[in-house]
Amino acid sequence: MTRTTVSERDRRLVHDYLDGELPEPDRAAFEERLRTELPLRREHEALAGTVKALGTLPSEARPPQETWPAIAVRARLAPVRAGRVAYFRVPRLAAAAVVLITLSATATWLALREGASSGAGTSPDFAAAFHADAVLVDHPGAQSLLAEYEASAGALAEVLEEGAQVLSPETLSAVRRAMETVDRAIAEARSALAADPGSEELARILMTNMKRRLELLRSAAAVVQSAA
Amino acid sequence: MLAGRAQRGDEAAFAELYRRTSGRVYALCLRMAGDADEAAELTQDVYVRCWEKLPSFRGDSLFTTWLHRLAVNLVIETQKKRAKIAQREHAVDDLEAYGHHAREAMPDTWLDLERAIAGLPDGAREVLVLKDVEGYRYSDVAKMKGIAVGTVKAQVHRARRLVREAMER
Repeated sequence: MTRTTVSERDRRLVHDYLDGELPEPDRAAFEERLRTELPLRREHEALAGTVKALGTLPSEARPPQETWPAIAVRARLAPVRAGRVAYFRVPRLAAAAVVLITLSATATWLALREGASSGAGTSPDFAAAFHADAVLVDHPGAQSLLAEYEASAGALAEVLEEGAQVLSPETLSAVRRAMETVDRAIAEARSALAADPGSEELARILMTNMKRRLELLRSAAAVVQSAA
Repeated sequence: MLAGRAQRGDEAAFAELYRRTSGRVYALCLRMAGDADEAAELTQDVYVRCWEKLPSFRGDSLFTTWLHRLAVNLVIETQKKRAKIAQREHAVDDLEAYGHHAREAMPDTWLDLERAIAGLPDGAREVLVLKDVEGYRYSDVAKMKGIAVGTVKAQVHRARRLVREAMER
């Protein structure tokens, strides 16, 4: 009788054959079966194609531009350049702050537009923050983010106080406005998430804004430190 | 030697090491995490840890080999911690977004295949990337993951089947 399907045992043999793990006598017998059993040959060809494709994927990918600046800040390196990726300098900090204002305000407005029309409140309060953070804690990566966010709570005042000595008034003002904007975006996203705890989009927006706040704070702290 | 200079605290040398090696590290993180944001964070973690551990690099192996192993261990360790909190499942939208990111980061890659890898369950994705993309042996992967060789084999076989099915859809 001619077989039309491939058994689980034969599937395992195909994997072992492709991995070069079949000892010699078994390998020769398997190759003979490949010549005579069409379903087994098809299974082998399909799997061999998959394994070959996996092995030829590109070995490099371009990381996001902000990766090096973030590493430099976290590893407490002095302002240095890695190729074309530059560490935040004072004018770039001001520019980044302006970008942050636009990003936070726009993204949050877009995310909350539908929530507002469905009755989700947007006035921030302590209870909303508590409920939103309780929802958020189940999301991947949220625990460490929340811990870092809480730990940074008092850092802004210190950075701005020190920054007043070494940063230009324009830069300082841009950073201050960016922080106010992102804080507002965080509060609004928290309120909306507390009202709609199942929304993945709101959780993502809240986490993104928290990360933005931390990034700006790190960049500002590093610039103040290097300028002092 | 660049790694030697970085080891002695030369930050410009470390920046140059990053420039030369980050493509490989980021590709590994991206495929093992199956998520662009996580991959970016993992890449940061790898280089921060690399900077901290550089003084202990003895030069027994190539710097790139040492760094790659450090990256693999860190990703596995992070994924293990995360798995205790929640098992993630990719939504179709997530995979679409991942596809867009993969195209930007790797313009010459095979997008359907990248998406199929990203869509695998966490454990299956990790072992498949280590075995079939990165070229480690089953015994190496078993040691890295702290599980039996037979378990790794079963996971790789399952992952290959899932990838193949995804590609045939």
